[in-house]
Amino acid sequence: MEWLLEIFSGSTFWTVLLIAHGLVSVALLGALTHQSMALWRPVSPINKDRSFFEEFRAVKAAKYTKAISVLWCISFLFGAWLYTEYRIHVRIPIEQQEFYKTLGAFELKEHLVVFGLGMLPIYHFAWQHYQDLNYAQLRKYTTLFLTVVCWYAFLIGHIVNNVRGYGS
Amino acid sequence: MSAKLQFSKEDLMLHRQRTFAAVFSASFSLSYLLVDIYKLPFLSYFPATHQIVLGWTPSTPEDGPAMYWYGWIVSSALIALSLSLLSRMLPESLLRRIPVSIAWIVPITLIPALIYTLKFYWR
Repeated sequence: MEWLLEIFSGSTFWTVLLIAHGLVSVALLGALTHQSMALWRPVSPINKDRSFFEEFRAVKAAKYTKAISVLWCISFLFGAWLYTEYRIHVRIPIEQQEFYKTLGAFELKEHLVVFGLGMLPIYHFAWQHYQDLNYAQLRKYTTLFLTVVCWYAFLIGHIVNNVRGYGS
Repeated sequence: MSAKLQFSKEDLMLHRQRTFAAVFSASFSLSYLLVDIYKLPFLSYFPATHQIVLGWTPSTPEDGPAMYWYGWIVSSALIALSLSLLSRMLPESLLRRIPVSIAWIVPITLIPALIYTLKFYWR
């Protein structure tokens, strides 16, 4: 930790980490959205004349599983690291400005991403057996849960980042 | 006969894997909520002083605010891991009775309770 802060100044380090967290989250969001759409609204492989939205759903959903699991863990680790800085330098000023609902929404995000983390083993299992119809419902709901949580976390993260105005 | 036996072993392995992961997901979310409500984090972290204290410790003016989130994760991971390992040892008849849907039903049904625990903020 100390050597990292020697290379970057304190605030530069946290900014770089926040951007990395954001980029990993964007990749995760994209992967989960593709997988969810492909699962919930599959496209017929016979139809070759596809629209943009059909093409978006016409992915091999099972191929995304490992990437999603790894990205979730990386994003979680970056977020957990940033959380220490947030607790001192972000949350306290937001509390002073009495943006309580924003803080509550952020705390809920922290809880939900932990639930998502705990769900990863069964999600991975369900997709490992993607040809097994016994696990079709399990695949659908675990993927949907992770997708909704990821979108919520992404949007709330942005709101918290911007609640005090740009660059504050 | 041997082919049938092999299939049965594979099937059992699959059930054990499936039950382990399903019990982990359900018990992780449930124990996370309980350790939050009953103040049972494995550790408390003070980000201002980088101090780590075992168990629940209140915030102090000297050390600044305490963070329990890491402690909740460790506590619930330990509980969930123990329960999942125990579930792997269950006899086959019981193993088959554990529905895999608990893996997503339990976390989803706990969300209203999670929102309630944050009632301080909804003002």
